[in-house]
This record gives sequence, structure tokens and C-alpha cells, in this order.
Amino acid sequence: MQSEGGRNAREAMREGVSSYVGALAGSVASGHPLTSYLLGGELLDRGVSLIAVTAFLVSWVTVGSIQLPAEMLMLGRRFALYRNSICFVLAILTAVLTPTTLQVLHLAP
Amino acid sequence: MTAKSTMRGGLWFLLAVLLLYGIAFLLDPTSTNLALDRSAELFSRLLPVLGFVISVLFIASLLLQPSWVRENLGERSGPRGWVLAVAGGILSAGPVYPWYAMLGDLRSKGMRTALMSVFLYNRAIKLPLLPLLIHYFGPAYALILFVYLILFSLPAGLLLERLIDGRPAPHRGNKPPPARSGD
Repeated sequence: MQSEGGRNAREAMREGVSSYVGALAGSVASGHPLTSYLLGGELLDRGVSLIAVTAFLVSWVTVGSIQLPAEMLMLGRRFALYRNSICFVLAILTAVLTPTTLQVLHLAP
Repeated sequence: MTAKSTMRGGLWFLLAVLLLYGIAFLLDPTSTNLALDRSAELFSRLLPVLGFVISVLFIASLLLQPSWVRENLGERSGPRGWVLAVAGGILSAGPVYPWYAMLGDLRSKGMRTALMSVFLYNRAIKLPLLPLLIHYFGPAYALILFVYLILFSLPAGLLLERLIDGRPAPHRGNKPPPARSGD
């Protein structure tokens, strides 16, 4: 019989991996943000966690691996690399905090 | 990287592409013609974006004088600079490429690195798409997400500025920072 602590740790690990995978998928994707909302909505309907979907939505619009060469050319290599790395980490943080805040405020859908 | 060496690199790249197309044409003329057609189609799709980039740069150069940029988006702009960067990012529309060019131009006129980052981060907030976001995820989710996006844009900007400039921006009087073309 598994302990409550073990289950919580496994759940936290699963959410961490979900947000990472979501952020990774959003980072390499490109296109109009409208597409990300449609995809995110469909993923949510098919049982993907809100954390993963939020990471996907946020990294889609804040991390631009497709636009990276242009950003490096116009704003500098260090600027582009640092900015996209920071945005990737913040996409994961936002993904964890947004559903948590909804739950804390009893506003979760 | 100087403008001269960039130009020379571009010319070499162009020559290499032409050479490759020439070799490909000798080996397989039909496929090369198809590839040229695709390239022409892609170029025609990019033309409006290029036109938009040039227009934005032209308007920015015309309207945004270095003194205005230093005062409102520079090291001493204070809260006004942050508000302008957040609002500008939220209200900016269209492809990101013209905005890269405009930010590069504004930086050469004295815009803070942190505010450039804040502007780009807040482009994540798409007001015209808000109804769709609410439809899929609910109004509470949309509101909380937008609040976090705005809040996180500020430390992201400060951290980036620290990483790029080495330390929080000091008082630089009225002198603009030196232009950084490519690091």
C-alpha cells in the first residue's frame, strides 16, 4: 500500500514532466496564437492536464525557436538565447501557478 | 560584426546558393524548376512582411527621436518606461519580425534591455483572441494567466538586463548606450 506522501511526490513529478513536455512542444511550434488556443482546447478535452496545456500556450507565444535566427540577427545572439531560455523556464512556472491559483481561489473549471 | 562583413557574408551566401542551384539544374532540371517555383512563391509571401518591416522602421525613425526614447524608454524612464513597454507589447500586432527590427533601432537610440524583453514578453497577451481563450478555458483562467504574464515579464526583463549588461543599468545621463549589432 503506497503512502500519501509517495502519491503526492509522484503526482508532483508527473505535473513537472507534463509542464516540461508542454513547454517543449510550444517552444518548437510556430504559427498564429489562434492555433495554439484551438490545439490547447482540444488537448484539454482529450484529457491532457491544464498544467501541460498552459505551458504549451505560454511557450508558444513567448519562446520562438523558429524565429531565433532572426532575433539573434537583429537583437544579438546573447539577447535571443538568454531571453528564450528565461521565457521557457517562466512558461513552466506560469503553467504550474495558473491552475494552482484557480484551485486556491475555487475557480477551477 | 560590422555592416561591411555582414554584407560580404551575405554576398558569399548568395553566390553559394546560386552555385548550388546551377549544379542542381545540370543534374535534374525538372526538380530544380519546381524548387525555383516554390522559392518564388515563398518570396512573394514574404514581400508584404518585408514591406511592413521597412514601414515600421521608417515610421519609428521619423517619430521616435533619440531624446524621446532615452527619456521614456531609457535608463531613467522609471515606471513610465515599464508601463509603456507592457502596454506596447500587449497592443502590438502582426508578425514579430518587424518588432525585432524596431526594437533594434530603439536600442540604438537608448532603449533599456529590460524594456525590450518586457515588450516582447507581453506580446503573449493577445486581446483580439481573448473571446476564444475565454471560450476554451473560462474567464477566470484568462484573467489569471494574463496577470501572471504581465507580472513575470518584469523579473524576466530585469534578469535579462543583468545577464546582458552585467549589472542593473547605471545612470548614464543623456548619453545613449553604445549600439550592439550582434554580440
